Amino acid sequence: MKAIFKREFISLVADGRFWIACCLFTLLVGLSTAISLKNDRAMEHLRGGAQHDLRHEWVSQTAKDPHSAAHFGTYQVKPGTSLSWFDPGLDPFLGTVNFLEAHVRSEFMLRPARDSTSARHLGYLSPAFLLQVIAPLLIILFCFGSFASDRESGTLRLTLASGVHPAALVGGKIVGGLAAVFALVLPSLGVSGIMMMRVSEEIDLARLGLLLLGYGFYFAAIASITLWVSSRVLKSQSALAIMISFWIGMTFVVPRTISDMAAAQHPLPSKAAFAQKIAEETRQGIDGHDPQDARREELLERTLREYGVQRIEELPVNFDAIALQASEDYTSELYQREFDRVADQLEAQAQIVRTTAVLAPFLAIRNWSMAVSESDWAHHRRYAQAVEKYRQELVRRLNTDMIQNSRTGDFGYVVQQDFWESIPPMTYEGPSVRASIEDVESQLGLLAAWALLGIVGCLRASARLRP
Amino acid sequence: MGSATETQGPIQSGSAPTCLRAQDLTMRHGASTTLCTLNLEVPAGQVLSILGPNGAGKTTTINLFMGFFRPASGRAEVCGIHVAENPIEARRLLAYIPESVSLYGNLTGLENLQYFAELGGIRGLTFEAGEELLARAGLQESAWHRDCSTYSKGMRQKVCVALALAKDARAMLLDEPTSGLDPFAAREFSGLVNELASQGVGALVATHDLLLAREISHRILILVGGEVKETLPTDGLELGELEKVYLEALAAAPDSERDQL
Repeated sequence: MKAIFKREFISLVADGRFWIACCLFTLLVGLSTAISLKNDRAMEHLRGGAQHDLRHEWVSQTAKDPHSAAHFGTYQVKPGTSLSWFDPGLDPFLGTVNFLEAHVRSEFMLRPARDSTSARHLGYLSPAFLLQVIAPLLIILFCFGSFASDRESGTLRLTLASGVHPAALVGGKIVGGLAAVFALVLPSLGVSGIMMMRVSEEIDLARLGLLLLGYGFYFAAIASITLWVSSRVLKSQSALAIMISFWIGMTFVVPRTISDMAAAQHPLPSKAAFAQKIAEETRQGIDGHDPQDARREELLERTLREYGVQRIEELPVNFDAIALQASEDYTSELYQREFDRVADQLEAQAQIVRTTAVLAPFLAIRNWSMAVSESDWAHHRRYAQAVEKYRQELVRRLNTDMIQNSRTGDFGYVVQQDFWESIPPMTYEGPSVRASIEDVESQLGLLAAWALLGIVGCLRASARLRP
Repeated sequence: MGSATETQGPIQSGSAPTCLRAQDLTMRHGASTTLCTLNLEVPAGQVLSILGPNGAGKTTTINLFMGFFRPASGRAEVCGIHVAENPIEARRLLAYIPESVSLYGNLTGLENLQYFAELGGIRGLTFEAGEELLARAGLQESAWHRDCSTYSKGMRQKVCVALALAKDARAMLLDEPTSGLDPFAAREFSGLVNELASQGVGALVATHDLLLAREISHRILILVGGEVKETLPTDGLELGELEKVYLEALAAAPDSERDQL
């Protein structure tokens, strides 16, 4: 087996095309890493600057009533993660900036994908994209002829005639092929890692390790499946045609089909329909600005009873602010329900994609890579919930101040600048590594299963290996 | 289709140990029978040629001895080892020279020899030992360290002969070995095979070359349509006589078999 491993490895790496491909791929990953890191740093700088400016804008507000401040609002920028440069995942599609104001839960803004051409929707030229899409193609191009070319040239006949055990032959070819595959991609990972270390303040070794593990399984899966196909067909051209079809299928056809299928099975409301539903339900609820609303009267009666007074003027609190907060609570609940409904649909779609990753290792590595890099749907939802919680707390604090420190009809009530400063900025702690991969552990299992399938397939094929 | 035993009976060896033996060996491809109850024995030190036209079952016989095919019935043995049950062990005792020897073109003759010898279980074949084997096989010294992509067919065959020597093969299977060789190279190759046979190797040669069969073999088996038609000792056999018997065997074949020729 050692001789076969050596022969397989050397025959692959001694090919000038291998080194050309290796250099070009390393260059491409290096460029992509440089651009991604630069953009990430720029985004981080912008984010830091923006948050600073926004905070400054918030604390510099002139004296005004707190509810006006709630409408003045503020922006919240999604913090980057240690690996968002490597795999931006869904961030370009879901947005990273959120406007926080009273009564309204806004959508995320700054979605580069929306402003890009449709070609960008195929994927950003991130290091993750290159490793997920381009690396498998190179692996296929270098491994498809492993058995089939030997069969065509006749060397497989002489090899088998030598008395070598077919399992040793296949084992040697698998190990040699995998070693060559890792020789192909490791320089690019090395370059990427060095570039990252030069600019990153902290390196999350656990996440890096998990990424390497996932991609290791992914490359092993592609290489072993290619070798399996090569061992079963008579012509190397057939092996190439089958594997290119597999690559197109797993990279483009299956993800697109699954995504369309998931969207059809769990459809999302249109933006217009969503907005209309919110508007309608808001109208039916307590409108804090409408004194004629029947529910406002009910709230008033309840408040009067609570304070043991007969008339609104006798209340020790500002009933207008109580009504505003009641309206806020109502719309918050409404938004929560509707956003949860949309989020549940998106989660159901994501679940379909996770389940159907059994059909395509590309889907499994994409899900795994995004989750480890904290750029997947689960992480976005978690962040969106944190932002909404902060928004609700912010508005409640503003309204509570009005409720407690002013009286009904006191439209001249204002707070001073120190009040704005007393409201802390939003802080967000990302999920732990364990929490990040909780939903996608199965994806790593699938990648391992694909690799195992290819290896077992090769070894089983060895029993029927014919020249 | 009748069987070889019915028409001719098995080819018997003398007192020398049997290197290759076929017992009622039958091979089918789908519905058609490509080899019908073949019986033969090749004792040590002897060369048996299977003579026949294209599609006669010569290469099928070689493939059955190599364990590349599983027979429909019967058995092929190499030095008493049942090939279908233990092909790896059988192959380790065999030297195989196909019609067109394919070596790794980016390796030298010596490197190819070392590589295939190691696959055959021969560990640590040194440069010196390899060079000696190549010299014994008749490969000129200037070619030993040259890439095999520059080798002629005859030179590649000599590397195979060196491999047979390295393996200390007990039996040889040669499939159309001189096809495409010039007369000088063919004669040189025949000499090498006879030399190996004189050292106790039993050889089975599949060929449609009457001249080669007569020169190289101790016995000739004429195979047509998967059936043994004649077996002839070559002692005192004239080429004209062999040609006559061969053509008569072909003429006696049913139309359907002649159409395949």
